[in-house]
Amino acid sequence: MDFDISPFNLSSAAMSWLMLLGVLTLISVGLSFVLCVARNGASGFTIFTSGLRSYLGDLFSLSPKRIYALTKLTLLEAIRRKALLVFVVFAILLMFAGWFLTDTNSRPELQVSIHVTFLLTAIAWLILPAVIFLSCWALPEDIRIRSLHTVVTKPARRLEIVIGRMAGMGIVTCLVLVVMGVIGAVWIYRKLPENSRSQLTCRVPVFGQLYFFDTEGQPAATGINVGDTWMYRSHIAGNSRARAVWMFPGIDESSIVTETVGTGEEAKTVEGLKMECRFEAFRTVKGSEKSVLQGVQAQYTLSANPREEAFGMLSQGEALRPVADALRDGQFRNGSERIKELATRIRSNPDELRPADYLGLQNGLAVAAMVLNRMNQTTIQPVAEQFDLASGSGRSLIDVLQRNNVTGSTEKPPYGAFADSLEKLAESIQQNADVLHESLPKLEVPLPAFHISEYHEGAAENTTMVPRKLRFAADYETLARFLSGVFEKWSEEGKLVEADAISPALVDNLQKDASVSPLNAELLATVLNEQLAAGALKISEGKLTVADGRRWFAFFDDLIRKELLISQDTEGWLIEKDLIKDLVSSGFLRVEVACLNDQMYLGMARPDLFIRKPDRSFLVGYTKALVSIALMLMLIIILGVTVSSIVKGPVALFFTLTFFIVGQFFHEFMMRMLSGQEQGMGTLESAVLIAQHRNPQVGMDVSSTTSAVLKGADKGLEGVLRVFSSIVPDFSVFNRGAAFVENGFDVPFNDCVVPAAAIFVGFLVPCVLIAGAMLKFRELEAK
Amino acid sequence: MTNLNSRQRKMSYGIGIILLLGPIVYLGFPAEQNVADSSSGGLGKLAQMRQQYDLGEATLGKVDPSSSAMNLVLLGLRGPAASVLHLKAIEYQEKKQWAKLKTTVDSIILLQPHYVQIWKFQGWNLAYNVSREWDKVDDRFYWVKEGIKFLKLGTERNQTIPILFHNVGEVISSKMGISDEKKFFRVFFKQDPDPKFEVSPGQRGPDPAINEEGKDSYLVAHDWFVKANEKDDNDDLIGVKGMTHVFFRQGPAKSLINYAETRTKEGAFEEHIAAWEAGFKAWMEDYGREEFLGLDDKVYTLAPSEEELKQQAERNGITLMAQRKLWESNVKMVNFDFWRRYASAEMDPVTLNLHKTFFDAKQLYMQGKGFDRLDPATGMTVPSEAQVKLEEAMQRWLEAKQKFSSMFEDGRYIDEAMLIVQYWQAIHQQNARPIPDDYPLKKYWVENSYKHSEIEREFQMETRGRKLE
Repeated sequence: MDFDISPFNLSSAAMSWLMLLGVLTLISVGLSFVLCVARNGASGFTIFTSGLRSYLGDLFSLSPKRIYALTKLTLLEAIRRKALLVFVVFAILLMFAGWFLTDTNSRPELQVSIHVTFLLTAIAWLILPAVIFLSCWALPEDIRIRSLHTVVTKPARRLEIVIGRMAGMGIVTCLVLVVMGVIGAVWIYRKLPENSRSQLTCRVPVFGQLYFFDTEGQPAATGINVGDTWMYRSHIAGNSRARAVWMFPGIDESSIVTETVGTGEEAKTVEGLKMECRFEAFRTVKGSEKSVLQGVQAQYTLSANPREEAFGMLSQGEALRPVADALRDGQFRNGSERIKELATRIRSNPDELRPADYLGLQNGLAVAAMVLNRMNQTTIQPVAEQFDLASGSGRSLIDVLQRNNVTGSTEKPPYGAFADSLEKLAESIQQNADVLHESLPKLEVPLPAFHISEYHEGAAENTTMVPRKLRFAADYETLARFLSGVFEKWSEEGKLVEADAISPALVDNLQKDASVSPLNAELLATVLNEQLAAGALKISEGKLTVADGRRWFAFFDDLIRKELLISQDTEGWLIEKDLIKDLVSSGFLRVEVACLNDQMYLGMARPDLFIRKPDRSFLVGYTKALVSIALMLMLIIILGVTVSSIVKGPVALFFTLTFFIVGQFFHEFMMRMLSGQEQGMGTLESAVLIAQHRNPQVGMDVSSTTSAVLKGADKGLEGVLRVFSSIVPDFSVFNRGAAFVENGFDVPFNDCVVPAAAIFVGFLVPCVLIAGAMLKFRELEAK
Repeated sequence: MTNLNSRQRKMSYGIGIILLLGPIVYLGFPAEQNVADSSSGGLGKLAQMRQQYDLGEATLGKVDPSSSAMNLVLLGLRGPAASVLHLKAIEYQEKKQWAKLKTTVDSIILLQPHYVQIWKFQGWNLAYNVSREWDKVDDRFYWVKEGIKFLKLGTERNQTIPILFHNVGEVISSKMGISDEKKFFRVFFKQDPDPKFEVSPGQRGPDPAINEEGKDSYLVAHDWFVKANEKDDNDDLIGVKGMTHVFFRQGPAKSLINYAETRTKEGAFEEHIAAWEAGFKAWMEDYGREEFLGLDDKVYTLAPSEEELKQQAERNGITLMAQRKLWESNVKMVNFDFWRRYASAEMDPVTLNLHKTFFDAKQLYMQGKGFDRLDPATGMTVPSEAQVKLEEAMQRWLEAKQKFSSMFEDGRYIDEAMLIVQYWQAIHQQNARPIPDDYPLKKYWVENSYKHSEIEREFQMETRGRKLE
């Protein structure tokens, strides 16, 4: 499935709707006034005001009782008109659908998708013609056979007639839909082959944001294109530094699922995060027999990496890369030197850097300031402030550069001030290097590699259960942080010293309280005793501390770098971390994906990796999809009734059908055309080109005047299209829900059902008002 | 106006309906047809006549009832509907929605069940294009099967189209026999990876839809080629659409030769002579004696006796010389002589011995028996078992070359000779011994030095995945 929908912004949609409504009201009121005056002369004004008053009176004296009566009437009429015959067609389709669909040989996941697609399409497309006919033909037919005349003589307002019609037909449609939905649900459970039924669930995904690292480990918006015409996925190269990075928002306790792993006596419940992928594999070589049989290998690494978040954006230009690399690696003193060098370059030879570099630098500084400020730690606040100041100074520099570029003025860009601010920043980083290193910990937890199972939606191979408690072999940095944490605490508690020597119980404590393996605990005790003897550690006031006053972190970091703490265990220094507490920062979980096989590629798009919350029943998603369909059908009813309140049946039918077809099939195209994404030229120009058998590169063979006239006319037509595009609803929104269910996902309420409901309500209000007015002021006898 | 009242009128309509229904049933009832022998019986008069005169859908295969239903649903807009579905199918393929692609293709063939190109194209599309999009080999096999099943369905719906039968054989033969995944596919063809086809615990059977009897892929392909030729027989000498007739007809014989060749490579030497004899016989006696139409519709056979050649010249009304020329050009076109000589060389015990000796030598090498041994009796180092076998293979090669000298100038035997040398040299290298200055096949090794890298690659491919047993 290739869904990658952008979130729906209800408030901005509501704002533009209100504006449109206001404009339409003004135009229609103004137009009626002008017509009234034109037709009736001076008395037109009185006629207009009395009409408007009467209409507003109708509007504010609607009677629910009368509307109910009219609704009931419509309902009965629809039944009399055999609208429900649609059931017969549905039943026949379902009876024979098996011929087309059931193929016991097909794979379970394909079976589910095929059956659900058929069912939802059949339901929507069967009711659709009935609804269009019913809504477009009812009112004109009533007028023709004069049955409406008997209604309007009653004290029923015409607005009420419209509302009653819409409500009645809406209820019939919903009834039909509910019955079809129930029959459909039963049919699908019965019809699906036994082996496919377990696949009939709704996965609840949490999608994240995706970006890439290229083969050199630099951030990039996309990966490699392996030559697919469909640009949906991009690929990362195997056995390289290329990674796909997902940031999943809103990960907390509620995302944790409990699952039973294994069967029989080995079964145990595991608590953790469930991740599912739908990666694609691309091979440039056939690969080993193992990979041919099992598939390409991928590996997830969960990481909390504030350094990457803060300084990753600095690596946008070649000139800035050394700075970024040093800071990302935690080499802050080195980074400070690189910034100083950069400042010197800017001061002495500012033109060496391209304007894009300055922009990238300023952007990177701003992001760093933002991330550091967000961390809310007083120790790193001075550095954050310097980043802020440098970013501000960079902003003023860029402003001048842009002004010079646009206006051609020769104002001197404040390179010196910017270089000063960078030097101050470098100084601050230098001074706070240790604090920064300690406050910006990088934690990486590589998970076991797995073979992907391409195109097997929801297959076990593609699902990974990440346990809540992660036990993994620590890298240098994590080990130093772990040991310093333990020793700082124990030193405070005085647990480390006994009779002016390192406590003999240390080995036991390390094993018992810090889960260190016996071999490594022995090693650590030995090394510490050696360090004490060598004077690197000291014991004062019953406490063990680092002799030169450094923090424990720096001490252990040093030991590890000197390779004095190489694990005696083959498994390495195993330590335990909590998935939610230690790896999720500000609600975000960062997952890096790597491809392990050389010369092979993994392809991915944003929705291709997601975290699965506990599954919901198939019926939940199915119901939401049906609600979307119901909203679409009711929207068509509203449109049909509105149009048929002024024109005759066939015209109303064509109008509604056109509206629907354009909205369903061409809305996206229309929007692409208006936003300039679609290549090509205007309607008339294209027509001329076709007639002249010429291509767009050559252009029309006409005089410049004709060309100008044609292009002008095309602009006019484009204006018409623009107006039309803001009136025609995007019917594809109503089908989104179905696409999710077909692929075994739950329908996201905010991104599918809410937009559908918003479009429905957005049309309901103006349509009721317009239809009411049309019916009120038209002459019923004018057939 | 009649004097009948409403009820009487309705009664008379009812009786009329029933009376008219009789002949309609008699005429329109579907025939009980037996497609295999083209006979028909039962009540349906019209259906019988349709079959008799080869008209309409009844004889073109099993009419799909849902296809007619589909036509009605679309109110005759069959062409546009099919075009839209074709576009959809392409879009689904681009967007890798395989399930939807398959159902769309199924819908297209409901609309156009007798459009042969669609069967050909989509069968090939599923077996080749879609199959290669999938990563794991069992998935690829699944889609190859889908393609074969699709083509098979095409043959059921289009009983009179020989090319579709030929295509089934072609896909089975080439996908299982020469594709990149042939090593797996040949096994899968008899033991399907799908757990559904488990016959006993740990033991898988074939997918009956493509290989009912669990036979070798080439033999199944052979059956399809035979069927294709039988269908073609019904058309006298009219060529097959979409393929040169003389190539089309070689399917059965060629698949038997391919079978023999592959079994030899797989080390099934007990079948060797019989398999090659069958291949040779099919090539010479079946294919070689078939009549074809050459240029200007002149009749020829590929393996005629001198007498037959004369008769054909007379029949064609041309000189013997012209007939010989016609024969020669066509024999060259299908490389008839090469396959004849190849099969006759292979069915000889001398060649069998060569292959078997080399195969055994390779096995010894794979088992790690390529290292020099210490003879306990003499205490001297003696050459490894593999080396001894390889040197024997060199001798065998020379013997065979003496018997089939012209054939052994051909690439495949030269390659075999060079591969023997390659193995032999590898053994010397692993025993840290220099390559002797002279050895039996040195001439061929030196003469074809341009092939060294190719042979080395083949050697590496053969030995890379070796298992020590």
